[in-house]
Amino acid sequence: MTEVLTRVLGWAGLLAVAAATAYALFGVPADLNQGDAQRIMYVHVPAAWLAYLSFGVTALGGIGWLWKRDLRFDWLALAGAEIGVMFTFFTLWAGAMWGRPVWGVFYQWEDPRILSTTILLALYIGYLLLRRLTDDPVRRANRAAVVGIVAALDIPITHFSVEWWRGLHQGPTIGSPERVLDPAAPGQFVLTLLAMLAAFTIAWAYLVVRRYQLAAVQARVDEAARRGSLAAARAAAEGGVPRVVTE
Amino acid sequence: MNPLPFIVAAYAVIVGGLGAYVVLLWRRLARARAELDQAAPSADPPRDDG
Repeated sequence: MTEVLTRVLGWAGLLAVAAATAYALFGVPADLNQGDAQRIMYVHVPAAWLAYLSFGVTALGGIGWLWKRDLRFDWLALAGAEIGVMFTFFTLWAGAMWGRPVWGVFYQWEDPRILSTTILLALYIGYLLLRRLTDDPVRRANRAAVVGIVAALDIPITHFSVEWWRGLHQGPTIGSPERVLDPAAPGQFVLTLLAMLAAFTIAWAYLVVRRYQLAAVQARVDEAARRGSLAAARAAAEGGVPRVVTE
Repeated sequence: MNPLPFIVAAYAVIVGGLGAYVVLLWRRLARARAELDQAAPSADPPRDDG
């Protein structure tokens, strides 16, 4: 993607998030039962959606790497995991901020949705830590791909946990097949939520592009450093002294 | 219970966190590009154009 297009994406994401946030906070009416606390839904749900999407990208990147042996898939997987960890934290944070005024608690270990989301966060923090264990890009990509694919199994468990098990967390508002045409919220709330989803997704796309670019540049820096140290080692082995350039 | 502090905390951390991450990415990208500019000329073997 060209630099101009990336910048356009960034500005579009910024403006969309700003406009949708302003409408969610000041435009849409408050919920009859939950009052203003329900406005937290407009950031909580998009954060969760983007966490799923990010980890889906990580899993697809892992599959792509194992299939094509092209490191660009691994860079994409890394971008998804890092951004996904951030959005999973946002999901739990917004959930806690919503839960305290509505449920009376910030967090409940017994709730399947909250617990599986916490496990999702732990899995992908582990994924990022695993990547630091080796400098060998191929070995790192192999290990990360396997963990990224296996960890993605927690995505459907997290999403459908509110339907499979009973807990404190409410059921899906729009995110299940029977809710798509019959949402569990008034139309204006659903449209605001969809606008926030779209705005956050544009911002997410910008972040993925930039994080991918960073991974690509870092890979080239690591490669240059490896070649530099190899050249120095060769020069030392041949009895030569590595040339030092001074101003 | 007044939900306002919780709404402010939720939006501030998420919108602020997104902004902070963007700035962090820019800085990391700029640093990595500067490192690449430094490392690439010394690491690349001299071209032999004949």
